Amino acid sequence: MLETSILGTFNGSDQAYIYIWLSKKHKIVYVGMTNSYTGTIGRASGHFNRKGTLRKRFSEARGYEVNNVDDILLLSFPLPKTREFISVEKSYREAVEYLVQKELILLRGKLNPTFDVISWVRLSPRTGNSRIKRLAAEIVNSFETNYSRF
Amino acid sequence: MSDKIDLSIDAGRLLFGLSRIGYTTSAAICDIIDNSVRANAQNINLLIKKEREDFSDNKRNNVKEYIIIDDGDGMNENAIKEALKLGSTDDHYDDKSLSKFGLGLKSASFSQGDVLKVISSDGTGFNKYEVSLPKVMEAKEYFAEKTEIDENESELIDTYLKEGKGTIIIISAIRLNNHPSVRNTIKELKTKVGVIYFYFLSESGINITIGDKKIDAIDPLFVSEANENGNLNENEWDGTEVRWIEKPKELTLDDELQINVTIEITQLPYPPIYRIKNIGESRDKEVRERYLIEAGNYGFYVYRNKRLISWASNLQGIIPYDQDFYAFRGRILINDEADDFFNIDVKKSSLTLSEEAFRNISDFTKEAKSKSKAAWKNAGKISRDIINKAPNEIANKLLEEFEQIEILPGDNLPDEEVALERLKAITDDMTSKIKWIIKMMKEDKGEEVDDVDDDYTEDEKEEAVKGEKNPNLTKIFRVSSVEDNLLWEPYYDTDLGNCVRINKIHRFARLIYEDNAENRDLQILFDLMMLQFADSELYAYKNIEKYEYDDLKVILRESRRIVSEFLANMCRKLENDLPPNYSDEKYA
Repeated sequence: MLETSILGTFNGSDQAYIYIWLSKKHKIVYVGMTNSYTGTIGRASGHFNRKGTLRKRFSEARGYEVNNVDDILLLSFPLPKTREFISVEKSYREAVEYLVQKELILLRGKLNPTFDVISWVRLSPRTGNSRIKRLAAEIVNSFETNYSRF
Repeated sequence: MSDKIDLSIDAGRLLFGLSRIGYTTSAAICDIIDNSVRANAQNINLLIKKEREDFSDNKRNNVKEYIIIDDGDGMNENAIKEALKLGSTDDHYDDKSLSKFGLGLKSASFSQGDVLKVISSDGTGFNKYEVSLPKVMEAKEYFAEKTEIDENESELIDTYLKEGKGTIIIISAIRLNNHPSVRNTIKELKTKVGVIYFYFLSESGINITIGDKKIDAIDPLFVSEANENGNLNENEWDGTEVRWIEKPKELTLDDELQINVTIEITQLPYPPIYRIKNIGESRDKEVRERYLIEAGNYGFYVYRNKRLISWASNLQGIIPYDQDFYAFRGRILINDEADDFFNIDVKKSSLTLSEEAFRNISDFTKEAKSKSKAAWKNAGKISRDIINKAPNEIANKLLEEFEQIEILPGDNLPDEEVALERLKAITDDMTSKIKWIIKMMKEDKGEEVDDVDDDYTEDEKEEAVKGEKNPNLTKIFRVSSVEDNLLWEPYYDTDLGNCVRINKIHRFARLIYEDNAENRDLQILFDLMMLQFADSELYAYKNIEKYEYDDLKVILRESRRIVSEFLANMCRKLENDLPPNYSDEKYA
């Protein structure tokens, strides 16, 4: 039996997230964002279906399929419950996502084991915004602080 | 007379040191291709064997062997041994040689892998020798071993060297520590080899292939296009064409020694102009790729004996690190006589100018640099004028003589008391909003803001409300932040009257302002429509008495939110089909 705790990650009704898929054994990190009604768990299907982006990037990066990977973790970081973050218009979410990805690329050499960041993110015009920078820094800090216990 | 003391060399450490002088994979392979060119090869083939053939080409650390095969003159047994020596003799090198130190083959090969194999024949039969870095390190002695040609190698000879002469270089035991992927190496080599051997590929008819793909010659200056388009006029150039800044000129570096070099300079296109040149084309990315316009590619390309030895050099600061020089492409053609003025390193990847060469070239390029920078800036100005300012200012100007209808047919003008009450409510709301707007502006600028005091300046207010300080903007403002990230919001104050603040980063606004930047009419109409939306909201606050002001505020604001979200959603779902990507054929 495989037991998986999903806590509240299925709730996206009034909540947007930055999320990170992590495999320490295979040294892979994938960053994304979502305002999906079904939360980060619901969003996962889009990453792992046959044409899923994570599945594809994983195979490109490692040369083998993601199917045999047995240590993937989903880390979900809730964003503020305000209109600009939960709206369909995604420039605020995209900006946080971009900065988180960029910081993880800078951070990866300092963490053990190191990892490759395989997600592709769009550059958002809002990455200079101080509030967004603060949010991204909090997420990265939380990732870094907890990395050893993942 | 001094005594000679024997200072013995640890061959292992020496070879190890040579292997770590910083070759990239593509630079190492090009150094080996040099030997093939020098050996009069007509066909040079590079094969990359993967460690795990089932892994994709995108996988890093998956190369097993690099094999470079040429059908040149080839070597007999003695010549192979000579070629494997460190500091091999230059007796065979003619004046046009690409070689300099007799170290290239060894340093380049061991920079990538631990074993170098050389199989060659000058027509008298193939011999094979190999050098192993670990074995040399263990023995502390530099040596090669004669080994048997195996089945795979025989197959290579049968396939590529049917005439019975030529050379095969095999670099194996590749160091799989941060080694680039096959895909990246091939991609880089296509560009690098195309540029490095531009003259050999285009003039001497040499064929270089990677696997089964032939490499095309690439002229980094795109001289043939400059010949068609003529000289650069930096005040008129719109960035769409390659132009001459300096046609080829001979420059004397040293009068006494009669050392001459040839210098030529072109200006390449300004890619952003290709986003707006023709409706719907948006070719800026393609143009950047075609003309190799990026940070590492501007500056001088120095060719020695027609082989590139320095890629996009800034020549010790003659060309500053500055985006305004992205389109600057210079070429300096030298021969071996000028070597002392261009000190070239073993990798042939960088050079150091002598003081005289620096002074001469620096003086010569002053005007060219200034022209290139002025032209780039001018093209940027043309591009920006088209993209942004003009349509927004035109939309504002069109409203100078425009008067909104005071009361619509069927609506009743509120009596004075109600009208004043409503106006006060609107003004109070807007006044309290100013601080929010200033806060958003400051955050967008990256400033940490807790709260904005009441003592903000008029300049701050104007910049925050309008998005920029510009007297030509009177009613329609394109700003980077609107409350709750909606597409637009009405704004009112007693000086400006009814205005609209449009969120230029909202996906729908970006569709209009960026994706359709070349469509000025669309932008003007969009700006005007947004103003009418905002104006109608303010009209309702002032004149529709049958609803309470606070109720109206909630309903109209909700309506604005829903419209903004629906438009964002439409852009997201139809991303590749909306104008300018729309095509008649698809929907015919």
